[in-house]
Amino acid sequence: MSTRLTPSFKVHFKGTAKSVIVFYIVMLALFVIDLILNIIFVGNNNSEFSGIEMIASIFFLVFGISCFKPNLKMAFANCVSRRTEFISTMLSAATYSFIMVFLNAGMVLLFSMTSNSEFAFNQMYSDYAFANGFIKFLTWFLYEFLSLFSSFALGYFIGALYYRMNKGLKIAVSAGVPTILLIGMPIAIGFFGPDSIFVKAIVACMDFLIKTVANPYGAILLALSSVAIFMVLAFLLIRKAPIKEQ
Amino acid sequence: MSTIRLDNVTKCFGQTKALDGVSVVFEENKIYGLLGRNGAGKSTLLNVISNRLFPTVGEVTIDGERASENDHALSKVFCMSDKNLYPDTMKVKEIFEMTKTYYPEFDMNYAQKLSHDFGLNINKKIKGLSTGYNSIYKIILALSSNAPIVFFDEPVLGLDANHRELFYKALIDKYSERPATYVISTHLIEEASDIIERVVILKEGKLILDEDTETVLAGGYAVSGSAGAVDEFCKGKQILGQDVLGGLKTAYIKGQVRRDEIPENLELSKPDLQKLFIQLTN
Repeated sequence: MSTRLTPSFKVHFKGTAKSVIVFYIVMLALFVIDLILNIIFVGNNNSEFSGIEMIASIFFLVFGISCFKPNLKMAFANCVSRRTEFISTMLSAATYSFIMVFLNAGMVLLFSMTSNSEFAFNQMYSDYAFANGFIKFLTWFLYEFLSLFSSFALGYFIGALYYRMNKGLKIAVSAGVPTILLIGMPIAIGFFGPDSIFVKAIVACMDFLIKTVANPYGAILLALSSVAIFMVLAFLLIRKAPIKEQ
Repeated sequence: MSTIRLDNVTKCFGQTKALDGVSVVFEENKIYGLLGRNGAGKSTLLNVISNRLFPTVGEVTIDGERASENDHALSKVFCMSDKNLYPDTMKVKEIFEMTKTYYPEFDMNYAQKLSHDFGLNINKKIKGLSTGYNSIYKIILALSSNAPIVFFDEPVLGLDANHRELFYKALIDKYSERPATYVISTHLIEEASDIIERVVILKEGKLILDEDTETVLAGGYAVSGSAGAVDEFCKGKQILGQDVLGGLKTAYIKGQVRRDEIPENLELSKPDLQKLFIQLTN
């Protein structure tokens, strides 16, 4: 094991704590505001407050994007290898994913005391028959954990990708990807027609994803594959990353 | 033992060769002056040694171990960069604490004492520091790290004369108390010349000098006087360079000379390191 892994993990763990704490304080504040507004204006506390798991995943995605560059620069400042920096970041993110699964659950339980709040997992797989309670718990845990961790891995990969790109490429990707998805794709679909191979391939992909996610184990496998893919890609990007002045 | 060895290190950025076949050894517990004009490759050299950049060709070893992506070897190095590598929102004391995590020998009491001496408020955030204090907090980090190898890249950037003197004094005190290999990359050669034991000079990415300071200074002399007399004296000698001011001329000559060899109308003096540097790198 690298001599710098433990210190690097400690630094990342400490650095992430602040953001995570702020996130949950904001969530709690929003919940309290929602509760107060409902009591004042509607006269009851029968509000709907759910989706914390999804919001937490988006938070972790954004955190993954934004932490890449400052973390790498701090690794350079302290002469830490890129490999150790990558491993310690992933270990820290995995630890926080673990903690956040239970924090999210705690929030859902808290919200459910005063409003209509339900676990996202239960909402998605209410019709699915699990062998027993333990299997359901384990599946729920893996689903939530991998959802959070894959969001972070995707964010970290995007952060690494942007770090490695030059200014021109950054602009091209930032403008090009949304343009292709929002303008190029509808035009292409209209141009090729619904019976074309192009459109059929897109539909088949979407269908595959929907069917995979419809099954909790399929969703877990998909998230696990995403974690593996994004981690490998991010490592390939970081392993030769040079210091940048800006 | 903390010896750094560079074997034929070349670093290219596109078509530009920032370092060109540099082979040099930084020996244990010596203070080096890494000199060179702007763009000579000094920062690139330090960045390559500290694993922030990969050499295009060649290898860096620290105590015989390959430095590249080697945490064991790199843990012996602290590299103070002229650029800020910490988040702007971090407080100085938070950076001290973080550095202590990476460098277990980091002396927090000494860092606090130096902060007091320099008048640095450690509760301030990095973004709130002036240019001078941006250098000062990094100097304090480097000196307090107690790493066996410490690089200073432009340490006195933006420092006033008092703070520069305080830095040189702190460096000497630290070196006397706990010797380490210090490599100082600076443009203020004359100020640092008293503490530099060995000089490494880069020119356009190439190593042009690697010698003890005393040897460098003993290897040349300066004569000044009227232009005609100086020119007459310089005939057949290897001139490093010359300065002309009105009718007066100073010539920097390579080699050694006895005082009785100097004509009465000429004055003999030792060339300072900065003068030699200018002549060598022009």
